[in-house]
Amino acid sequence: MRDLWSFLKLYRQHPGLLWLGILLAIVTLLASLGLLALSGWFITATAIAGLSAATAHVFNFFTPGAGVRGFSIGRTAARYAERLVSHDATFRLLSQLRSWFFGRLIPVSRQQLGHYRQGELLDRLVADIDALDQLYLRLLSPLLAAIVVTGLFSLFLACFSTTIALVVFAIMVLWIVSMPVLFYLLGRKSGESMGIRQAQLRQLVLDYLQSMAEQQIYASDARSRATIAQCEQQLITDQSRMAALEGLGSALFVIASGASALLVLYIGSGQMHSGLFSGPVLVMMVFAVLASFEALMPLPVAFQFLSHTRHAASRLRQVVNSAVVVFVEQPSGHLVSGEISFADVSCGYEQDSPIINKLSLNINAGSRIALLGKTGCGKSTLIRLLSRALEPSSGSITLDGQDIRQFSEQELYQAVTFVPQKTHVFSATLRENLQLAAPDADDESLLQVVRCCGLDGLAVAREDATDLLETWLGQGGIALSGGEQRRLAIARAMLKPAPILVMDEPGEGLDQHSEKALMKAILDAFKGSTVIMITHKAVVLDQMDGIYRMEGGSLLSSKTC
Amino acid sequence: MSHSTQKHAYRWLLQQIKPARYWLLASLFSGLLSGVLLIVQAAVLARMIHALVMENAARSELTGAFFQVLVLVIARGICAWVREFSGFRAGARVRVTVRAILLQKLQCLGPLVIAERPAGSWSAIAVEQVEELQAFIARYLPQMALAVMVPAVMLAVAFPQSWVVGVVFLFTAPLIPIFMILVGMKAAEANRRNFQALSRLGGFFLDRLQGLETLRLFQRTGFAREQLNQASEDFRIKTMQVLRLAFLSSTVLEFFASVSIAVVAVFLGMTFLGHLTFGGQVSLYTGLFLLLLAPEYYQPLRELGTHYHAKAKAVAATEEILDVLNRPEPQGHGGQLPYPVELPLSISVNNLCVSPRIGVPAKKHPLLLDRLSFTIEPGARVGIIGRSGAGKTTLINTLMGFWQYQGDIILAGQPLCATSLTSWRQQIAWLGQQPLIIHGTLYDNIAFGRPIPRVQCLDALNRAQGKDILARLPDGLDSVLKEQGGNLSVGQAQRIALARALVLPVNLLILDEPTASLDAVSEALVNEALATIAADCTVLTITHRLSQLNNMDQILLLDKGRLVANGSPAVLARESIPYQQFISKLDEQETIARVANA
Repeated sequence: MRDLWSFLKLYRQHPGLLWLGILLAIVTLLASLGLLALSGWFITATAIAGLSAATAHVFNFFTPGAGVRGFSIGRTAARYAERLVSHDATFRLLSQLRSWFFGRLIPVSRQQLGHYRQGELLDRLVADIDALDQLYLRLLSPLLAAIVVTGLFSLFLACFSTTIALVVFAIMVLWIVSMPVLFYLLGRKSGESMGIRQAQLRQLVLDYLQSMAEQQIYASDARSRATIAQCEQQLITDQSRMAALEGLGSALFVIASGASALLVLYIGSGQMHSGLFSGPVLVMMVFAVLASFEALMPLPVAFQFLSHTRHAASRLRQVVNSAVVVFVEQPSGHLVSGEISFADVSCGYEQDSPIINKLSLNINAGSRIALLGKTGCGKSTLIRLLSRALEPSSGSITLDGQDIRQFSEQELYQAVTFVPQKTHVFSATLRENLQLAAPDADDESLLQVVRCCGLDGLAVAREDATDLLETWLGQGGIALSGGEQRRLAIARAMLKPAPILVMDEPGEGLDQHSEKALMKAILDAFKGSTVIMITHKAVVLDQMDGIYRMEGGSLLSSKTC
Repeated sequence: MSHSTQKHAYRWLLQQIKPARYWLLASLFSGLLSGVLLIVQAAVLARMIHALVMENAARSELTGAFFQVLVLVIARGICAWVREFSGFRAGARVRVTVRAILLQKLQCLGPLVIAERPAGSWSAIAVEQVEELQAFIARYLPQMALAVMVPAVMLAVAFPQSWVVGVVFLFTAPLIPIFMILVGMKAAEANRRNFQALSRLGGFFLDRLQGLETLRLFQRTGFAREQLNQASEDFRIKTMQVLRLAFLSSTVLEFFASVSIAVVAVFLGMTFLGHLTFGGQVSLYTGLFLLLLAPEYYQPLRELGTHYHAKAKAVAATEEILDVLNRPEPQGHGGQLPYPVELPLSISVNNLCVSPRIGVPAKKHPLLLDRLSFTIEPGARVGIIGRSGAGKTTLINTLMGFWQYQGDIILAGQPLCATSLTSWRQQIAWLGQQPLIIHGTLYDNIAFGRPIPRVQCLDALNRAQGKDILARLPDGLDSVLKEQGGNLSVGQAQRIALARALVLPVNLLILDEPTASLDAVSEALVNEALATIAADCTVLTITHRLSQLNNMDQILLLDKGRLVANGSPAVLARESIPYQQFISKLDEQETIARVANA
């Protein structure tokens, strides 16, 4: 439960709205209760008064009549207001939760975060946050409202009969206490295994689809389908337990509300005959009890799925509490000219198999070097070390003789411009995608870079090519090809001049001709800067001052042109 | 998402409920029964109160009635359970059926269509989107019928009791269909937008999370966070505008429910007091009975409103499902004849054409393969070369039966189009560029669902030079390989994939640049393993390596879908100009790489 508490703290930001939502929920429930109770009292009282003309004549029907109308309008209005307020509050919490999570995620070490990079896990994180959105609307508000209504209703009943008040209070408290515990415990096991099965089914289907060629060549699709069907059946078994439980919740509700009303009628009829209260009051109490259970209805289901929410919370907490990369706060004040040196650097995810093994490399300021090598030889790891996405297990990396750990985050990223291997295209306009690198750049300089990198071809894809920079990219817009993504990445880099430029396979997905042109453009833009280029192609090597080959985490050979 | 496709999707969805109709009927029946029992319960309760209050009956006289109500209450509880559970069963049934149809369709579409999009987007449809159908089938559909039936029964009961109350009910009854449309259109529209806004916000959030690294490198995390706040604030304001309207329509329903209680109560009270006489004489029993019915009269309709988003979600999911199901399937390849196992495998290709997309007439697009003709002798080592996009992979995919084609492919004297694909594929093994590792043990990955003894798997792994992999893994063949081979290097994964290809003897081995993504050590290991392949097995290799070409018996050089050179490497080197040009270019690139290496 501690996992959930840490998220509840976020609720402190909008206390007024949240309490107002709960207050309105209580008002709605009480109005609804009052409407039925008063109506029951009213027609019974009038029926008795109507037995003789004299009593009928003096009966004051204005006050209760107005009350009935008031309650009916009040219930409608309060319900409407409650919905608006609670949804508004939920949306505010939702935005806050995302912002908070995003903020907490920023400093988390990328080595940790690397595990989450795979789309599916990230989707899961998003789903977990969605699960927490409903905490207030589905659980907190109904629970608090149920407690308050129970208290007030019992006090009201106590005005007429202590016995009935105590009995009703006992039943309602028993419900409020036992249903959450019972349904949380009953729902936990199936709920957990449901989550596991769902992930398993997703994995099986994904494997099946990904390996369709192998499946068909090796004729194993029938077996795979049988495995999928089996997993699906297990999932349905878990789900059907949950459904049975939900059914039990509504069954218990129907029985409890009916039986309570019956019990009140039973006790009340005895007390009425002994003269404790009148007939209309008895009817009022019975009707009120029937209506009061509306407040208790949401509890079983809310707690049945609590374990799901709790797990979501604990997974999120795990992410935000994982190791963070610590950058020094204080800027070192050191100006970087571009000299880079790796001294005896080793690094690896597992102790016994280092990805980089005692690597030493000096790069003079302003020189351009290429790193060649096959996939998995550690080239990209070298870059991750330089961007401090990864910490070396031994050795040191220095810029102008200063250990990179002594630079503040801002200093480091101002000194180095990266063209990462994978370009993330944000679903936003081309302008926004570029301004990422240069927030203050005007349209003219953006357009110049766009043309220089050959991104103006994007306009062709659009029917109205009036404003190229307004072209929407990514999801819901133009999907960029691999080559265009590289162009975008290089355009971004060109907008952010720095003494050091690091490129990871910049020519991937481009034909030789365009690759040459693009490389020339960026190298011209970074004249005088130190350049590290990782590649497995042989293009533009002639413009490099040094060429190194990496294999198995070490520099194999080097050649100075 | 146009209106007509939505309608179409909705209609299709309704057709899928057939296998679940008995469960749906059970859910509907128990809902209806519960409604009827509620009416009876209200009547008994009203009569008891009437007797106690108006006739001063002793409590002991009513013991039977108390028990009646108790039984009714319990019966309604059981009904509620049955309704929930059978609704779930109906939904589960439909999901299983639809998921099976989807997977079957995806299988028919084959690996090439699947490769058009990330596999995750297909599996999201087959897993998550299918789940979205549940609430619609389980809750919405039965409720739709109940929202008409239960009020109708209540109306029939109320009229004989008091025509005035009956008229109040009846007066609002014609409004019910209007409400249904009102609630339906407005709330559905609002729900849809709300849902859309939420998923857009989710998409925005996911997008920024995926791009976090980029944001960090450009020092823009703070800005992105502000943007995120801004976007959620925008979404909140817009959504609340819509919700204000949407809630209004259900509030109208709520209003009628409340007001009908008030009207009934006030009317009855005034009648009892004698201020109103047009309704005739009414007893307290009648009054209480009708008062108990009044809130229940609107209840089914209100419940329907709460399930509307289930319908919107289900229709949206169905549209995506139909999008897959409506894709044209490759047709006409694969016949019934078994592959003639006893004959040596010769491949004869004559005038082979392949057009880019299934169902698109070949004339409108340049062909992927354009009038290829060649023969391959049994046991030949054949190299397929050409620039990327020349059609090399298309050629082998066609030979494996994944592409529709025109022209002739004759295998051991029998046309491919007449041969059963299953029996043909039993002759083939295939190794691609990117090794595929599925979630499971090492054994699962080699045997791949085929009943193969463990010894044979070990042997295959040895032949694939994978001894060291076995030594590294803790549980031998039973070691679980992590997702996407997370605990393996690419080279190790590729050798496992090779073991999968070698584990059963085949007549044709197809290799698609098997060493392209490997380091030198792994490449050497894989090549060593490939050198041991039985001489009578035909091997087709797509390659970019000069060094491999000279070991081939035959080279097929493709350019823009056409076969521009075909023959032994020695002959081609002498006589074919396109071959010489291609080789010199390859050579140039390899030289530059060698310079770097020196």
